[in-house]
Amino acid sequence: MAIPAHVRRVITLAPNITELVYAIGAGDRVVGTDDVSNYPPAAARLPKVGSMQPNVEQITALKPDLVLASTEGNHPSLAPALAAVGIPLYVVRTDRLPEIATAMTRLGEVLDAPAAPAAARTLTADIAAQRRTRAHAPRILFAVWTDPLYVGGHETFVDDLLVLTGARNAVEVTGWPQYSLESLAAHPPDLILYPRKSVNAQQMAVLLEKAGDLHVPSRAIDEDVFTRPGPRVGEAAKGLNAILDGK
Amino acid sequence: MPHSDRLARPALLLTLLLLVTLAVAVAIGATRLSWPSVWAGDETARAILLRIRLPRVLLAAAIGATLAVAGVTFQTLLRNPLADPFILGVSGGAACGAAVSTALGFGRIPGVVPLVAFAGACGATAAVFLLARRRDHTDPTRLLLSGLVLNAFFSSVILIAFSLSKSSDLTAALRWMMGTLFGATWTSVLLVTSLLVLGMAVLAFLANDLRLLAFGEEDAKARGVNVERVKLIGFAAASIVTGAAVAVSGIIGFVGLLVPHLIRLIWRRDFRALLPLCALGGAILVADADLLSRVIVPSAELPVGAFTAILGVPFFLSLLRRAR
Repeated sequence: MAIPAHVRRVITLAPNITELVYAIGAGDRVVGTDDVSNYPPAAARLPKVGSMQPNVEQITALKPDLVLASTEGNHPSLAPALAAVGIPLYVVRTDRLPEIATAMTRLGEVLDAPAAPAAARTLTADIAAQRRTRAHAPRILFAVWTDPLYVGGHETFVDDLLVLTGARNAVEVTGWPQYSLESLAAHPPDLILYPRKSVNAQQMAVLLEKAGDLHVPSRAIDEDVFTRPGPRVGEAAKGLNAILDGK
Repeated sequence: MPHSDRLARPALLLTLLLLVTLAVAVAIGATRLSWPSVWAGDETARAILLRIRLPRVLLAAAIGATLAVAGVTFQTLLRNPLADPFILGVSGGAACGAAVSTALGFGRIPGVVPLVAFAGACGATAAVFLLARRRDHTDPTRLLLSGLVLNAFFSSVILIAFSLSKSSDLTAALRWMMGTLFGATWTSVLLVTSLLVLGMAVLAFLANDLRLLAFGEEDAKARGVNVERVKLIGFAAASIVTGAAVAVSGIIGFVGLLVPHLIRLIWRRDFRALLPLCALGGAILVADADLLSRVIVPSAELPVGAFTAILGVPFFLSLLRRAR
């Protein structure tokens, strides 16, 4: 399905895509988003069309010229369902750090947003400004969930942020696997980061107790900023650097 | 016991196998333990061995024994080879309780979800039992059918709870759906083991009645068995132990179905022998499955339920072929 030259009504199906569209100055064209999109505040107030399995009827009713989705959260039957009602779908890959600026540029071309190239340059500069090398790279563990323990491993966006800020991922696994309590106890990290909307301090305390009364500092972070590969990546890296410098 | 001599050999063999399994499972893990340093009192090595690995291995064995004992009890009570704690709705009830309570946001308060899961398991079996009751009689086919239908209902509720919950709640509910022995504590070992011992004591007390029941209800009645009472007590005992197991470790499939059949194919059909042999067999299967799940990918853990099937099914199929 061809993408129209002048896209006036857009629906975004991932929170980081929503943020990217606003960041390139095309936020006024967004008419609906997925359920998770909550930033910027204007996007939070827009009609919601579902998340993992978006509601195609609702999407159709909002009369978009284009639907934007990310490679990671793209339901396989979405494209044919949208094609059946004549709505084009554009999918962008955004799951790693270097892909964000590229995605911004692409979205700028597709939406014909004049501010996009500058925004992409600013983003790249923001990222570069946060690059650090540390004499003793602290070993950081990112715990997504505590029972069972799920961690952010290598080849993830969170790992990219750790590498950028001169830290080291405390785990040797890749992706987002369930992690061994023994391995945590045997090689305790210098710091554990956990998403504050999903995990609370008490759950973290229970985890450390189960790992043999580990005494490891832990810190809650805003997962919306730290786990979304979007325009706030500079803010995430800056926050991480502040945490690491404070140690 | 009339068959004590014939029980002795398989029991001895399985006990030896269990001991070897436990020894290997304690020796191997995600981290390499140096025994001299454990001995010398190295804090980390001791914590890994005594607070992480040992309780986990023992919990795996206790959960396996519990599920196999519940399985053989249900199969005998219903005289149906397909009966299994999970087919009868126990798992569905537990998972439903876990999913709904996490969707309502209780996942972040420790202890609430397992408690609701336990209540769900017990509630589901009580419902299945009551649904299958007609006048003063419980019909095995109706019991199985009620279990199947309730399971379908629970699945729908779980699906809806999942679709409505946040992704972090999903992770919490998945813990019960996928089953894991992660984070085993001595408290959980004690809880499951003591309920298992209690349940097995009750079932051992009923063992002769259950053996007679295996030949048919009319037969058992003619021999003076109070069939309805045996059914009620047996059903309650098997459900309560399963509920506790599911509340602690989530759903670990195939054990309750597979182990009793394996034991029957190799050795005996007499319930008095089946009860202890199934407990041993279940303990071996889940302890081995958990060992594989935690050592195959270094530092990462795979779902234990996948390995109970991977280990058990080929063995089961080869026995089935030989038995024709």
